[in-house]
Amino acid sequence: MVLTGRAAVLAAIGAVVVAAAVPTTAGVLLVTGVVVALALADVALAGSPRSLRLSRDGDHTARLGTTATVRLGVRNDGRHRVRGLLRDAWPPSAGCATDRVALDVPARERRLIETSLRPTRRGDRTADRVTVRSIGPLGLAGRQVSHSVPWTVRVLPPFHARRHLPSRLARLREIDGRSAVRVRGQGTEFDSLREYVRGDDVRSIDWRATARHGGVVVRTWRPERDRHVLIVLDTGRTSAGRVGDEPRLDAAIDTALLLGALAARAGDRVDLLAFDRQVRADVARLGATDVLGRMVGTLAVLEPELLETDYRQLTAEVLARARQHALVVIVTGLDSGAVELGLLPVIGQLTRRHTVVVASVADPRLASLAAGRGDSDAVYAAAAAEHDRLARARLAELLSRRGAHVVDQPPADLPPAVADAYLELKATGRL
Amino acid sequence: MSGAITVAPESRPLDPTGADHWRRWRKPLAVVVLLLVTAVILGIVQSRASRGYLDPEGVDNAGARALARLLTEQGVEVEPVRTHADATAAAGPGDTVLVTVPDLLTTAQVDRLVDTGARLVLVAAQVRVPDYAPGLSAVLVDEPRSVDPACELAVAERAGSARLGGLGYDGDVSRSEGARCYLVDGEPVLAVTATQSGSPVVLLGTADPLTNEYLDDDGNAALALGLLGESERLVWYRPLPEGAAESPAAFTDQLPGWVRAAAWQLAAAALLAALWRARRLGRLVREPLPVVVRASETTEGRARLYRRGRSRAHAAALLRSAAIRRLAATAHLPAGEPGPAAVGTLAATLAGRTGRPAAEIVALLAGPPPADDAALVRLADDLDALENADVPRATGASPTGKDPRPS
Repeated sequence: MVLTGRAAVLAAIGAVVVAAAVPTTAGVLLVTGVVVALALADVALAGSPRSLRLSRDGDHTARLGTTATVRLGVRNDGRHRVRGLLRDAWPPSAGCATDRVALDVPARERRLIETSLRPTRRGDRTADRVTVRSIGPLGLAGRQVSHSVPWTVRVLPPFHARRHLPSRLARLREIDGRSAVRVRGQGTEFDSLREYVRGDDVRSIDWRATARHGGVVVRTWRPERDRHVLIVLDTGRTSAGRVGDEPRLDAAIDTALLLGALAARAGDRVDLLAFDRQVRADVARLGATDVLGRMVGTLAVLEPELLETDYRQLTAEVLARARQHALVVIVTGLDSGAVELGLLPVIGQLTRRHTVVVASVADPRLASLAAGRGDSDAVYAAAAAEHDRLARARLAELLSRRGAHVVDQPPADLPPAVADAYLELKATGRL
Repeated sequence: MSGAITVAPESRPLDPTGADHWRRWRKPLAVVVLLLVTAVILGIVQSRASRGYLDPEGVDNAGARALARLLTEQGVEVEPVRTHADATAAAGPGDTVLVTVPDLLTTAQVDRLVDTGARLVLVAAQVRVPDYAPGLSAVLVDEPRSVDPACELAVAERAGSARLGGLGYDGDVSRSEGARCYLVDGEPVLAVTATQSGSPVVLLGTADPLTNEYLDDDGNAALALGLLGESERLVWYRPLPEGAAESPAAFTDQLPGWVRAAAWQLAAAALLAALWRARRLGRLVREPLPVVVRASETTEGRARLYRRGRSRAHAAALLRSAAIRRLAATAHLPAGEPGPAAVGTLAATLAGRTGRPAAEIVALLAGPPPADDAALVRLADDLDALENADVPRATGASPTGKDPRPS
């Protein structure tokens, strides 16, 4: 049972009646009794919110920054009209513009309520309860019931780095095309035989085929396809730190998406692993067709864990997944002692068998702090920033010395930089 | 309006119905009812056992039910009162008023009680004694014990020894048929005298002879009956702490009746409004919040530590080694660990490119730590100036300066 403001107003008007007509205790009791009796009658006459049947349909996914629409069907199975207020409760980060709407459903009819969501954060947003407040004909009181109508909208990462994809794909085609005239080398594979055209390298003439064919035939080569690319996201505590307005992990996800899309288009096999102390996400064997969809779906619910990443176990996981030579891209942050103590000792095991790229999300704030001048506070901050930059540089150097390729860029530049590193490795046949 | 709804997830009302409420709460309710019943029964039993000091219905040690019964059997009409108004209304000339805590009354109340003309029996009166009986004052004496009457008061002589003590009454009792009995430490514990208006007052230094505990000891019962059973009516006044009854009528009493009624009705309206606002439209929704910590948090913390510790030497060394690293990179020198020799080589190169003396550059890059904060700020600016002076040359003179490996 619920009361409305009208009941309180009626009781307040009753005060005038009491004062003018019956200024006694009995008068107060009488007027209040009348108000309460009217309210009770209203409750009895209100349509039962319990007899409503609710159902949902609409969007299951939304990219961060776009709007998702979820429709709520309200069917009245009861015998009375249900009139009142409905609240479709969503968590605040689901970005529900208006969660309460006026409701008027005659008996045996159905209404459709549209809720538009504009989520403010990545991940699963689960609808909470739908609460219906049915008010009686007098508008004094009513009944209220909450319904469970489960629905989940998965908010996908925005993939801002998408805009870098066309240029990188063009570059990929360029590499592919150029490779036709390349001579055989490491990391290339036999592509096809074709007729000799002027300008071809005479060393690539296939004499056996030439003898069989009649004309001069050359072999063409291309960078090896179907290589194995393993993207490893560090979801440990360093990934929780905010760079700008986003956690590091979001930049790492963007990087993984761009690289995954590019590598899949290049015909490579892409695996994805998110790890801190245990496997948080594991997507294997991504084909070219569904790579983005599956990666995005998996990465959407990834959250940073406040744990120290266990790099020893991470190495074991990587080695278990990549038995053949593979490109291992570890996306992490270089600025903590965790990497120095954790990744550095085990990076050798990885570089011995695989090509390793360590992609690190750098913080542009370090640069702005390091440029601070003018007063002693700013200079002390600059010194602290220089300390961290020197430590990062030294760490990057140590990692490079152990055979890893280090890409250390701020969030916006990291995805294209890693994609470029991949293309560079591919072009030079080092995958 | 209604579209084709694919009924994927079916709804389920969650709030319990009335029957659910009853099923859920009947057991706790039963426990609460049981507790209440037990409490009420215990309360009734307890109230008979312990009702307070000199209560005519009290059956515990400090009560006086036995005495009240005895008095009733003797034909005395006992009338228990609690308020001063009741006491003054009930008492009249010829009656006896027993005041169990005489000190609780204000001077004005004492005066009005005295003005009734009733005979007063005061138990353990102390500070108000002069108000009741002018000329007398209370003094502390030994604890109650069995004492002989030692006076010619008929009641006392009949009773013989009784348990008395506590307070004695010093002063002149000769106004009218006064008596000083039961001397303890030389002071009478039972004093009979008269009030200002001449009505008799009996001052009793302790309540012990009247209580259930000691009533059947010595001559206590006889003494109590003698003191209290003298008249036909006994007003048994157990005072309550009362404010001054003369306070002016309350503000609310001066308002017209309709204001009070309207106020109550408005209060009812406020209650309804509170109930209206109190009911939420559905429960609060949980939001799992992400961790919000800046990646540069540790850097800023370190900066604060430097600042607080005034570690200028450390800060200067960091700024210098960062500058050396950058300068070495632009000068295409090997970026190794910066040592004095490396700084010397670098300074020589820079001197050639910027035109500044090498010694000055060495002093800037590897000089002593700054003496104060101002010197540190200057050092940072000087390092910037050196780097800025170097950069245009390095990029501008690219064909020749492309690979200026110094010997």
